[in-house]
Amino acid sequence: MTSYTNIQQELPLSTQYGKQLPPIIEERFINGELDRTLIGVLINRKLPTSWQDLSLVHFRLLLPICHILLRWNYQNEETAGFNSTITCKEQEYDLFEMFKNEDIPLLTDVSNLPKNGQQNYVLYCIHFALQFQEVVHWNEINEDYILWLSLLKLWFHEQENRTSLVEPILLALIISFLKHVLLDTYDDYGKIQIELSLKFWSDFIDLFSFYKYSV
Amino acid sequence: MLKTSIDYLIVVFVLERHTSNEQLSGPFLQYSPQKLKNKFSLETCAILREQMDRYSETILLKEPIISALHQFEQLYDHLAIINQFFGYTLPMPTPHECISQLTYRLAVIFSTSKNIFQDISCLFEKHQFMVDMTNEIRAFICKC
Repeated sequence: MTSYTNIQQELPLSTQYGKQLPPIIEERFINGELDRTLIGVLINRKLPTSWQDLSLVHFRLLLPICHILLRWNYQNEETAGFNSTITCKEQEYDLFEMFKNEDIPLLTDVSNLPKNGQQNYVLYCIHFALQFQEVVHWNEINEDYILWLSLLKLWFHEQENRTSLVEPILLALIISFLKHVLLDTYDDYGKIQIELSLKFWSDFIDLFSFYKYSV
Repeated sequence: MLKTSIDYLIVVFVLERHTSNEQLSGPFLQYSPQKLKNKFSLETCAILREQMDRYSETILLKEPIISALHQFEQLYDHLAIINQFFGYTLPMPTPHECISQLTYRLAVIFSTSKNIFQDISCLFEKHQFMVDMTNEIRAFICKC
């Protein structure tokens, strides 16, 4: 949350080469609908250094978005000295080469995509991170679980060494999720009312039956 | 007149009770959390929560578990950024649903268990649904 209150940027937002960011991007940022890190990539034309230490699975998760951001820089700014190569754990990746045959939207088109198109790109990022090793039939899964299951899958694939701790942690993640989602009742006012009402009528019927047969 | 009213109340009572215990068959991931939640009465929820709290009482410090959960936190942050970038079109679980102190405690206890699956069956004794749901999700994650 602190990234939204850390006000340093002057408006309109522009890159270090003086190019103004697309109005739709600026509007989304002002309304808190775009993370500051992504604006930083557009302005500085490079990725945060902390991303270079991420695991490969994790790094790949961010690559499609990095490609969209840096492509905007490339198409709209001074291209001299532009480098589309990025580094992760001392390994270099050429983003433009990596995505040259992929159907990735332009930065200015992202907000105009239909809902299912935007969902498909979120899922694309996830499958790209997992290196398309598996076909997942997301249409058989309730929408409420998709991102949570994706997180588990990404985390599981990130554990390269598969130590003896992976299984216990995975099960702990699953069970604590089920506890919070299925067993917590803090917000179940409606359910509480129904159960109290059922209990009331149940007691009432018991009492009435007792009265009826005892007279 | 009174008898008719009572009969009517009984019918309502039976119907309400029946609808709240709708039988759901697997795979369970096709149903919304709200629908699955209806499988549990408030009393059952309270009992299971208490059982889980008691089961996860011990706190030990295990650095590798903290580190692995930290990786999960980082993934959460970045997946949230991606989902936000594409217009929040998929429901993002809240942070505490994904990871909490309970997660850490359970992970520590499971890591010292000789038979985790037996422990889970004991933890959810009489609530086979929770065991089945856990196994279904685990199988979904590990199938590749």
